[in-house]
Amino acid sequence: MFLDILRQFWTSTGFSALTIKEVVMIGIASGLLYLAIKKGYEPYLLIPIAFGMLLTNLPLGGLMAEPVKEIVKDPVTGQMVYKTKEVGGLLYYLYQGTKLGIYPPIIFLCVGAMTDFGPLIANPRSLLLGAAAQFGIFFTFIGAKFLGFTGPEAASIGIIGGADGPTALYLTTRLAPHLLGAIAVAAYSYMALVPIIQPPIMRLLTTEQERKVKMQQLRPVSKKEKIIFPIVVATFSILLLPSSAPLLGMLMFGNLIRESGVVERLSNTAQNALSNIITIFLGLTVGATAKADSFIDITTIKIIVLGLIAFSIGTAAGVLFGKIMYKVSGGKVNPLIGAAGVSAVPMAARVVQKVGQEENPSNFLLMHAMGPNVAGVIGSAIAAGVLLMFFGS
Amino acid sequence: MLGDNITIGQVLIVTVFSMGIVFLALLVISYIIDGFRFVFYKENKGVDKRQKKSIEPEKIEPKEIFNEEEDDEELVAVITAAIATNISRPASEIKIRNIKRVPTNTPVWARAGRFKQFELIDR
Repeated sequence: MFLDILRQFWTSTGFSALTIKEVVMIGIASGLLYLAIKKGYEPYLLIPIAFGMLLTNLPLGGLMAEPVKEIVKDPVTGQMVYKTKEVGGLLYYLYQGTKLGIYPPIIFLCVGAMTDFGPLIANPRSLLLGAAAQFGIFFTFIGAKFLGFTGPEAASIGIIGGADGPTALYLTTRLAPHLLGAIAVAAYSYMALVPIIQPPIMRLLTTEQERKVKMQQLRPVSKKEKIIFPIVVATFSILLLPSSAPLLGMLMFGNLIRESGVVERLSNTAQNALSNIITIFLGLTVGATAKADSFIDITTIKIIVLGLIAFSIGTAAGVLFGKIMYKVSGGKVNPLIGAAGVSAVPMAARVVQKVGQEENPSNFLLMHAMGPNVAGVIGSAIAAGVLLMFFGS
Repeated sequence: MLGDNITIGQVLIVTVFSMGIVFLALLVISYIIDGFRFVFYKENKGVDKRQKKSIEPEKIEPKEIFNEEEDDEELVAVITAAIATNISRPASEIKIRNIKRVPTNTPVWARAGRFKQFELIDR
């Protein structure tokens, strides 16, 4: 009797159901938590993602369990109706916001409310650097196809090169939701590693003379320009590419409430409370999709490698286009700022500042790099829109 | 538009077309912003006003040092040197009459960034 109870208790615990793969996943989640907490790698996202990963791989918890439905005859009307037999897990319901593409555009709204497009308006040509850096997306897209991924999968992997978390998550939920965990981990890990990945590429592709270039001070931008910018960009881009509407629409709306100056409370909420709430939900649920069965697979390793290639090629393309602008402008543009075109705001711009200052301590490239940096956000959202147009159902 | 299985040819077409659209869209936006400059930004007027503003006060300032704390003299020296460097004039031409602390509107991250710059230069 007592032994039976003990045995039953044992089978009801997670320990009895734990598989080797799940143990490995718990190890990976712990590793990511270490990197986030101890090393400070994108902790705001990596902690929720890693903890979501941990929770989903503890067996029998059922946090991501889908609800069980049955078809029964309605006793009153006599019709066959769906009835929920068992409700789903907590994270399953929160995950619907990710799956249905709701959280990433809301994050974009918050990003818009935090972004100052002033440096971009002051130097509009820096938009081209933001475009050039998107080449990493398509290079990786081709590479992924060669490695045997399907079209929609290759597009989702390529978008890691956009170095923009919400864009990558949005496109992946639309095109290849089964890869969400791996792509999220790759995208956010590499974004944290921007200060390590980018500088060698930047130094390799530029000469000392180019890195020393001091750029002209940016002109001041009027409030009117800042207010009209989001309205014009949203209208034009969405008319050109309707599939980019959720991301760009929200980004520009967020920016408008910031710049309008008359809805301070909305702007504050978007920049702080809303952004934090959605980050928690998004991180936890994206992490929770990384289940042992699907995550521990050669596919994940391929995605991690391709993601690194995407980042590197994007940086290189930006810098090379910066070199073209350096030549065309007669040496007025510092090609380093091209590296900021990969987005990863504001980390990539800070890396540019740092590398530029190593060569010339009196050089301040930060504001010049912010132009391509925020252009990269618009660029990757447009790239995501184009890929969605091709592969979206 | 395209399915799961795509050929290499289609991959290349998608790549070229997509990069084209990204460039085109951002190029058009950059020209629209160029338009902003003509419509909303009066460059010469703005520059003149700012120059006047920045030069005038220094000429008028009479000589009188506001003494309140021991460190004030050092503070005045630092501010004088900073102004002199900024406007490229000898420090002897500048007289500090009054120093008022202005409440800062700079966000914390911007200040942190500046401190980092100082540290880098110090090294």
